[in-house]
Amino acid sequence: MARAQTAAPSSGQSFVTGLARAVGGAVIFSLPVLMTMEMWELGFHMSRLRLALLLVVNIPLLVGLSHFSGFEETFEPLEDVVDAFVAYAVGFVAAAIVLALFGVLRVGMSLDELVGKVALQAVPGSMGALLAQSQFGGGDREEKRAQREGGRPSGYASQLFLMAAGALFLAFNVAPTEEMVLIAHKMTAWHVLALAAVSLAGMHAFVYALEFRGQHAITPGHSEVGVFLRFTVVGYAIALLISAYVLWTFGRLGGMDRIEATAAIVVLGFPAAVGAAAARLIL
Amino acid sequence: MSAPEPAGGERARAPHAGVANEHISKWEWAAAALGVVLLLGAIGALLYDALARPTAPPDVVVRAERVVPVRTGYLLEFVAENRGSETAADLVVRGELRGRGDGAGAPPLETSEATLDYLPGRSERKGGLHFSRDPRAHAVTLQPTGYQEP
Repeated sequence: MARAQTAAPSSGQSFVTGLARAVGGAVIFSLPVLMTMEMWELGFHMSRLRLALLLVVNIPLLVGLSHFSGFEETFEPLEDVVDAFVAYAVGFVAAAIVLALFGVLRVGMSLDELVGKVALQAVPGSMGALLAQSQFGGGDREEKRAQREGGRPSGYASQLFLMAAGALFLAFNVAPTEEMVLIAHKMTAWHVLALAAVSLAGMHAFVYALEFRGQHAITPGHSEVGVFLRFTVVGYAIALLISAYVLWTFGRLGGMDRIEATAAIVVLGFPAAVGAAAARLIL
Repeated sequence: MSAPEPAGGERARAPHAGVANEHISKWEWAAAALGVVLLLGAIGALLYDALARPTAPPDVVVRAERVVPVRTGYLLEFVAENRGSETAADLVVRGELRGRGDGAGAPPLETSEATLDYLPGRSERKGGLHFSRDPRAHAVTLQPTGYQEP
């Protein structure tokens, strides 16, 4: 077809391959939430302003993920922005098709309900679309990845960004369910403290595995205590902030007193912490 | 955000620098444009709904759609329409049958109830009520009775 005349001979074809990969990623990563009843319901009854805010907040997140997930060696802002919006397009379309197949989108529903249901699912879908590009990426992208020092982003701010992205992704997967609040109700103050301690310990295990994987600490700042403070403690703080943001977005904190809300934030902070720590390993 | 270097620049090209525009195929541009349109459309619709339209509590109208004879008697299919803007959760719809000549104050001959999980604002949901008598031969009252906020 058109590819015979274009300057980059296989750009069309490779784009189709990439697109198929992105659709696959969007579906794989968002299937748990696509099949969660509470997500459909949140699509129409959650605050419209908070949903709009979430859609906006997701843009810099996608741009950053595109930058860090190894597409390019150098920072090409334009390309990252384009990648982010392609991912959004995939997220929207994949969510609309799957929800329509499930009979969750129907004739007779208001435009507001349809838009809300699809837009909410487009957020995890777009993240999945981007991550799929980096995880199941083709050869040249893998090469570019390998060219990078150590194969992963280095700066401290980048590391924190990746942790936030991982926390948001995993928190988003479980936050819509009623169990978050139910678990918080079941726990005593001691349970909450214990869960916070376990979250920190689990997170540190990931961090430790990454920082000291089969080699000596190279940089002077990478002493064990330093790593604990710089990555584990800061990472857990990020996870708790993300947890609070996601719960607030879904309106789960409404009508709770401070103690209960804290418990819910710590409960969701557990998967968020695991996601934050794992993101640095995966990406 | 800084503009990318012009693609035809004089300086020697690093392997991955300065050719961003050529990396991005027209298909990619088209998909990205679709993403922008969908995103702005969604945000626009949400903001319009939040800021420009009045909010109103659930305002539910229930109307009978048709009556189907079934093994246990008669099934009255109804459509519940929420003309308010807020969602009603666990909405109970009650149907009552009275004799044609009886007044509205007369005790109903038969009552039946159904609960709708969710009825979002400005939307419809369908349901059914079972009766042993034929609703077509009686005066039917269909009413929402109560709901909770989701």
